[in-house]
Amino acid sequence: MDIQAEEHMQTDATTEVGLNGSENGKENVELAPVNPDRFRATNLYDRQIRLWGWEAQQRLMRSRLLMYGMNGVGAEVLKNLMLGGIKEITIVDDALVQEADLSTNFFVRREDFGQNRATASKGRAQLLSAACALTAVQGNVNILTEEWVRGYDLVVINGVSLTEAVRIGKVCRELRVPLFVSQVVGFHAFYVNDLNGLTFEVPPLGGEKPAGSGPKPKPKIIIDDDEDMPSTSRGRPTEAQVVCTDQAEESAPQSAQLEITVPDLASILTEDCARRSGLASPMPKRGGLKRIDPYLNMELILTFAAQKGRYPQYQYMEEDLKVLDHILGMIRPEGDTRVVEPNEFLRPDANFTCAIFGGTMAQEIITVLTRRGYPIFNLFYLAALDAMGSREYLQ
Amino acid sequence: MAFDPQTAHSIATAKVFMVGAGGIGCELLKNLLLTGFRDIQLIDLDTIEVSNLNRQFLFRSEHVGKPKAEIAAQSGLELCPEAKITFYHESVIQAKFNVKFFSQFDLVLNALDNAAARSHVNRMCLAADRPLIESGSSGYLGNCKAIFKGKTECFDCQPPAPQKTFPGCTIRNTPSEPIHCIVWAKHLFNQLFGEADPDQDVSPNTADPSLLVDGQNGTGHHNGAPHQNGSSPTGIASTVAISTREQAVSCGYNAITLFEKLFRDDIAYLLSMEKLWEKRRKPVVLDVQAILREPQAILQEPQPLDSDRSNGDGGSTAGDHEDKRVWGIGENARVFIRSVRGLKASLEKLGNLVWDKDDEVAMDFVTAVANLRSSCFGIATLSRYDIKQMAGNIIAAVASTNAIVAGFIICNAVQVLRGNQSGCYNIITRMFRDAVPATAPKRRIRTTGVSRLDVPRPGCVSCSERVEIGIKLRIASITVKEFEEKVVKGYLKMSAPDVELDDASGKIIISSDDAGEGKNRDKPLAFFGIQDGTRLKCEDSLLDDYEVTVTLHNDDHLAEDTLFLPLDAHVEGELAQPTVEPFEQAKGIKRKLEEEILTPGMSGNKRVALLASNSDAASEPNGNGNGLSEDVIDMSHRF
Repeated sequence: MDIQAEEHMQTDATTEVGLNGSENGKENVELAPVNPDRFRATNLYDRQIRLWGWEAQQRLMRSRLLMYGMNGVGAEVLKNLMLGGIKEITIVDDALVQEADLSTNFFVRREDFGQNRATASKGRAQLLSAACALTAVQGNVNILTEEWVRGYDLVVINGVSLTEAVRIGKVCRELRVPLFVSQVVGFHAFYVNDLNGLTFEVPPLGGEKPAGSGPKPKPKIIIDDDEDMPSTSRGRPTEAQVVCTDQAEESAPQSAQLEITVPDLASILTEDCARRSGLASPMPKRGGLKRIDPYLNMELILTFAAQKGRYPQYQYMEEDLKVLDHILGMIRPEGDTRVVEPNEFLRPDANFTCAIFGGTMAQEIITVLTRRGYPIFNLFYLAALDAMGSREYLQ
Repeated sequence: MAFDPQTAHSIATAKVFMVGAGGIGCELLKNLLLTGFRDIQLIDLDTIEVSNLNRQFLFRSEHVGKPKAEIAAQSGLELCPEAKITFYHESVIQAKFNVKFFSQFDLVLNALDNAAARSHVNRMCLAADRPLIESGSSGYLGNCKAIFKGKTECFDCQPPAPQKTFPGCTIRNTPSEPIHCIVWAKHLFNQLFGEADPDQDVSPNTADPSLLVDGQNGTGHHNGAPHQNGSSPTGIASTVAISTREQAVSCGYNAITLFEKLFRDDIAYLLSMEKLWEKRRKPVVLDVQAILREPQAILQEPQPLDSDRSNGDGGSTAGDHEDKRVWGIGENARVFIRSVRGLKASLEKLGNLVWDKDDEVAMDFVTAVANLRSSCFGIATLSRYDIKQMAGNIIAAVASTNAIVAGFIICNAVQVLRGNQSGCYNIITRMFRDAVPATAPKRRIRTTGVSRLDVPRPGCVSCSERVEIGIKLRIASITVKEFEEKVVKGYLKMSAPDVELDDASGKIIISSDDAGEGKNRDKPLAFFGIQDGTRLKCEDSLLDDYEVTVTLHNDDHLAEDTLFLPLDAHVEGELAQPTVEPFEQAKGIKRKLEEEILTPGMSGNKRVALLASNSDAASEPNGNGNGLSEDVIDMSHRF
């Protein structure tokens, strides 16, 4: 083929590309880089789409979140969800910005002192994503009534009293809106969530490897509690069930459904529940490191909160330490070796606690919003400096 | 302030060096400032990409293209105006960042994404005797640990995850998987538009051993022996490399001509090497004119997407993922033509190009070329999304994991400043989003794996006192270049080595001044009078007194794909068998991961090995260009 003929071919090809190509013809003529929209979602969120998939990303981009409490955890959660591409967030707070916020909430500055914490956070938070409809509301947690919660896909409550947590728990359960309630207690932090009635798409039992030769998945698998669990819990009906959805008989299922049934917040936010669940759990193994047990810590914190109407605070260090020691003496079983360090509760909120805890909670919120993956329910406990993060199942 | 006055004071006065201002780096800078650190220097050589914005929250869309170090420092100062933040927009692997430079800091924090820079900073901290906190993240996984010289395991104590390698013959002659065609496509990009690398030849290779190995009947392995068109395994291939480029230049980068050369003539040539196809499926040649004459198939075939909740609040949120569609052959051909023209224009404007997964045209080119080559060889074609994953070695990354890791870095950093070494841990974190426990959901599941820091591994080339090592190799055939790249830089991890004979002559074999340009680099070691038992003195010119004496042991019986073997039981397995499952190796290493928080079948130390070499933090491409780094595909084990 001579050169002219080739050039002719090339012209033909150009025309065809121009006419039929997915990109517009003009760019082909000019030989400019094809670049539809650099900031399109598939580009912007590429690295996380490769983690949880495009479908989950689209669900996140349709989700609406209501969050009370712009403390350090609130700031971290807000940041992580806005970066992730969530559609809408409403933040509510009645606290005013003060010195302590400067070391945890990175959306506020010294010049915001005395202003409302939610409205002061909004401006800088909005810069993270223009696509997210962010609304800041000045108000007490008690304004979050049924009319308020309705229409949101998930509610997050940071740092409120036990009473308020229980009240909102009731509202959310009635509306079937998933709820996370978080509390930072010094270097420790925990959340309880109510995911009752939700169904998650999870990998089939057996983990990531398809169990080709293994036993066929049973249609219903009752959760198997730890073997070394004390007999008190044997025979207790377990409440979460995993059902394999794949109908294929021989091949391993691609995914399974996890339907969650859990008690409501009113029953799990009692010291009794923490004690019961603690007794039913194996002693923590920490390979020579401190044997921190979330249940005993929770029981202590919740008993304190029930007695005093607030959580332990560093401002009342001496007073609170006495009360905590007294309670611990009462609730601790004879010969118990689990580590509890009440002085760890009596610290100002630290940024690293908020970062680790807020990162975990934000990730779990995404899991719940997208209904994909195995969620951390219904208690997550973190002892930050000891790097102890643990999911516990309260019954 | 969350700490006692004494700790608070050490935090406020500590001088820290943060290496990397990417995924972990952004979170870390925020955490440092909020925790009370006020004297921070940070370094990153990267610029901001669109795909960073889902997690690197100090950067915004208007910053795309700007240096990460500069914008991070700027955002940091906005957050905390009273802090002192110094930034460097450059590589940390440089002579100016010497031991004296490192010595000024109380603490060094790694937030890197590649093994080369991690290893280098590890060395510098050992030399300067400064504590280092190492970290990494990959998807939902993260890890973080502190390194104290001589007391705890250093970064190099853990064997690196072996790099994925493909024999050159597979790439050039007999691809059988999509990845082979993708590697070939990236090589072709460099041959046509970038710096030609003789190791990345794309033309048919007549020295393919499979032409010889099975040749018991002795029929000519040089069947049709075509003049210069071949390279020997020793890498003397520059003539061919130039000729691919020259052919492109001589036809003015005419896309049709190039198509015909690559997917018709070269394939036809391969077909003429009949020996190759005795036990393999024969490739087919593509007819570009026939392909272009075919009526275009419908381009936008809708992907089946989640049908639930399509409640029409769409906008940009609804719709297909355009890159997940697999193109037909016609579209591949058209994209090939379009991208060749685009790249030709860029080449004329900018000079040699560097392949970058985030450059749309360069990515189009690799997608089309890989798919066209796959079509020739009967290999499945893939979507642009999948090819980008493999070609760019993309690591999934999300803000929350980085936030968690950066939080744990602070925990370790505070303990370092308190002088509380036993309070520093090796921490592994994960979300179990994709990992239902093997049996059934349990009552208690740890999300954090934590263990005490391990003791240094005896014989570690970086942190042990021993400076004498022995290496087995083929002295007659290994070239100076191979010795430098694979042994001195790769195994001994020297960044800018000087190597001389350890005898009275002191003859210089490798000089850091040459920067890889020495004229004798293609000569074998034997050329310098090196023989069995010769000792070489290797020094890293970037480190003040890091010197290793290497005794060379000739061994002509090394496996064919093995360039060298250290006489060191700890490392032997890893280098001798580059194809061994990385996890299998890590298994052998004692590690006290006390809680099995992870998916069964994938224990903690496996994950550490996984994270150690490559993860999401900040880029330090080490001169290899984005995505083309040696981390991705190492071609060292040709044949």
